[in-house]
Amino acid sequence: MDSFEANTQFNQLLRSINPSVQSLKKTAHFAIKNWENEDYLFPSILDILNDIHVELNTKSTIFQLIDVLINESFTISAHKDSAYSYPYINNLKSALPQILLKVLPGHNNYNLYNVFNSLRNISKTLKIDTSEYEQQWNLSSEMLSKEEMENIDLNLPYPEVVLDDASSNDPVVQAWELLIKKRKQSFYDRLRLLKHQPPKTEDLSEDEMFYVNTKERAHNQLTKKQILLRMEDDRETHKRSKESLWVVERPKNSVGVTEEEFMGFYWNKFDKLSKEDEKALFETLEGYNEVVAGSYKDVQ
Amino acid sequence: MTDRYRPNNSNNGPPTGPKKSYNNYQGGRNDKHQGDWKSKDFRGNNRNYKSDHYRPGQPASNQSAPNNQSTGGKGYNNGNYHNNSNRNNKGEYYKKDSERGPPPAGPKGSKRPLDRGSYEKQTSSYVPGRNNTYEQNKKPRFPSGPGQGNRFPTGPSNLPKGPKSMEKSKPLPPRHLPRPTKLTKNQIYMIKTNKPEIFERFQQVGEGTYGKVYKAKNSNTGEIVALKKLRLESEKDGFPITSIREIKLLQSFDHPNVVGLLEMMVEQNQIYMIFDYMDHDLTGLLTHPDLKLGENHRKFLFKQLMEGLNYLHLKRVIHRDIKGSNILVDSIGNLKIADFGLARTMKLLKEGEHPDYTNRVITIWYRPPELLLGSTEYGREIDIWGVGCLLIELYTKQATFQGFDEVSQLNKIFNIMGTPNFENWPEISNLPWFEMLKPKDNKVNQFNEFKAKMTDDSFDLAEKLLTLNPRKRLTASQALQHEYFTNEPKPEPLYFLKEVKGEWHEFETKKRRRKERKRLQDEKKRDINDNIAPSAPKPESMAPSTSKINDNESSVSPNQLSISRPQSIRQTEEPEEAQDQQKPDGTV
Ligand SMILES: Nc1ncnc2c1ncn2[C@@H]1O[C@H](COP(=O)(O)OP(=O)(O)OP(=O)(O)O)[C@@H](O)[C@H]1O
Ligand SMILES: [Mg+2]
Repeated sequence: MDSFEANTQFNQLLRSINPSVQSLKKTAHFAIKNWENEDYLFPSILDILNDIHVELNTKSTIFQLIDVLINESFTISAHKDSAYSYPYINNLKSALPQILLKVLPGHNNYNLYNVFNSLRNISKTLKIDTSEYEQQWNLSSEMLSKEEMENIDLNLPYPEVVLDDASSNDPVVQAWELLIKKRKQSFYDRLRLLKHQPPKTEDLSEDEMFYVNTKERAHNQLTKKQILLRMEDDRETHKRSKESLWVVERPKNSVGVTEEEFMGFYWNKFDKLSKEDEKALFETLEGYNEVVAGSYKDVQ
Repeated sequence: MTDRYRPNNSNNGPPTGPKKSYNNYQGGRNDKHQGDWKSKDFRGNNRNYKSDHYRPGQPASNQSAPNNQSTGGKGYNNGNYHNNSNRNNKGEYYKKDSERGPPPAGPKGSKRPLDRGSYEKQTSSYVPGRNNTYEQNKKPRFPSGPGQGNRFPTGPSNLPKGPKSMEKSKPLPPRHLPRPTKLTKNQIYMIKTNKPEIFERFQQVGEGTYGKVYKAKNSNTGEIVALKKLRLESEKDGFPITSIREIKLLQSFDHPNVVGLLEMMVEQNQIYMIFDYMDHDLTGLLTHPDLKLGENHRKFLFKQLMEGLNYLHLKRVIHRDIKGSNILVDSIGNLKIADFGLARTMKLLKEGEHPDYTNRVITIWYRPPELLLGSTEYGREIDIWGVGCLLIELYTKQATFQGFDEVSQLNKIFNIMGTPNFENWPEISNLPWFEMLKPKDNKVNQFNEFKAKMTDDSFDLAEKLLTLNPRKRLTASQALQHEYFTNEPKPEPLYFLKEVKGEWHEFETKKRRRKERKRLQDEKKRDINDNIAPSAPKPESMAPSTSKINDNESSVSPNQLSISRPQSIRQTEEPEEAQDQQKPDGTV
């Protein structure tokens, strides 16, 4: 496939992407297979994120795609006799801070939670320890500085979150720093609203409550329909994420007893353990470990 | 041909003679094994399912985890039981039903293997001493004690405790009780009959997502029961996993305010669960135009609801579909929680682990805010919200928060309970969909408006049950301590219900409403025909667009009739197979 054709097809995949595992994997695998055209395909990912006509839901999905792409590229390349050498990872990694701000534009932080999850996955794949940031993410109440609290009292807006060009940190770490700032921003905005917006006594419409109902919402805001779609998508993603959890491949000649039976047998009674029994116990256990270890996608 | 299993859920002493039980499904597996369930274990036993059926024993030891003990030991379970599992030489595996009383007579230490191949053998005594490669005995987990709410007479509470454990290849400790020689009627496990129909069906009383519910009479005993037909999806999927979960849970219940499974029946390729028949469900009852509940009656109903829920929660079961139509009420107001199609036991977690459940549970009107905001790490609190809604309904006779979808549901809740703030619910910003549904304005709590419709005590209790923050919501046992239940007037049975004409289930209510709608439409048609006037907008076009309410009532306009009740989410979760044929009058 020549680069033009590859790029055309890839763009089609990107435009029709949805957050199902199949769609994400299909797109990622296409990119990996066409690794020779990375110079064309990678910018396409950035283009779609820069496109102001693309809705925020899709941008969130693109961020998930980046997560999947990094993971697949890594897994495939790490394989013993792999012909691949980590395509896209460098490019994506360096662009991560910039990408993050495209998915969380201005004060519209709808995608905060999904970005957090994906960024956590990416960091895990790239084996970067970000536990410090994950902790910060959870400590919302102590997040804001004294100065920021004073600014809330003064009803001042939170400053725009922008790229720190001077930063020499690893781009993944930079992305985390931005994400924490975004989280702060969101938290700050809420506290400010709680403080300065006088509570209403009359009923609020859905539109007044959530800014959702109008069909033609301002750029970068979600309509109600988009929110409901997103919920369904998230549920599907969640369901799928659990489906693969328990997949254990069982070779024909592996242990003949199910784990359940095994548990029941050793758990529910006490008995003197003969040498023979003990041997059987450990052999069976060993067998399970092998079966399970063999089922991991990334070989341990 | 009809085959039935009866459970050995009496406590009348040790069974001896011929007895045999299967759990065709295997207890104690978790979701992880779905694959095995359907393909391996389950299909292998399919034959049994079709040709006969069993009556479940009561407290099933469905958890292999040790902690379970602490929650079960409330004296609800009577007698000791043990659980044998056997593996025959073919390597097939099945489990002995849970059993009351000490093990039956047999050669000392015999393992009572089951010969699963032939039913004929059921009349013979136990086949002793098969060479089992595996067996599994459970120590009795629950203290013995008098039973509660058993359908069958419970035996004396001073039954001997079973052997602590039947250890492999060790003789049993001597037992001191004389063994009855005859099997009592209550201990029959399986009945196979060639009678065309044992249960004479009267009418359909319910239509769930998974099957229909009929009122029926046992032609042998005269007993009135409810048959819940399981919807068996396509053959290739085997027995539906959701039904297995439901049956397994039902088997483990023993409480007056929770439905008990009487037996299972297989008839003409259909599988039925059989329950005690209850005249009403709460939704149906509350739509009765003449129903006048006194404060004492409301307390009587609500107390039982809380007792039943407390029992479930102690057993670490979350119901996940609390709503009026799943609460059954008999002719004097005795109440039972039903429909465990969405219920599950809570995962056992170590510190730092998160449960990760699906948030696609609970019919939308009864869904608490944390689920509407996407929580997957919830707990028992989600049921409490639902009973809070029902408490108000006992007074107002209508659902309090009637949304069409998640967005409008949350809006209804925030408008009445007020928008959450940082003080009352700081953790809300950790919920997955909070950023999408973050209130953009502040609304004051308007719940006080309900004060006029309720009493001081009930209002106070409802407010505490409907706390936005799940962590601050009352638990079931805390709710039971509330003054509402102890202050005058005291709870009192609804004896007057006996005089109430008819039986009131949501199903009949819907049918009535359907009729009413048809009448209105016919009238309209006549009007139009008479006047030849251009037609007004059809009622359909005024209906709220909603994917959740996908029964045929979604076309009723809210202004025309009361809003149709949303259905369980199961409908959207599991693809529906073709609808069964149903005669127009709802009978079979
Ligand atoms: N034991 C019973 N006695 C009388 N009526 C019953 C009984 N069990 C169920 N019903 C009626 O049948 C209806 C449906 O039963 P149930 O809720 O168990 O089924 P379901 O398929 O799970 O329904 P859904 O999922 O739609 O809530 C109940 O709402 C109730 O009106
Ligand atoms: Mg139901």
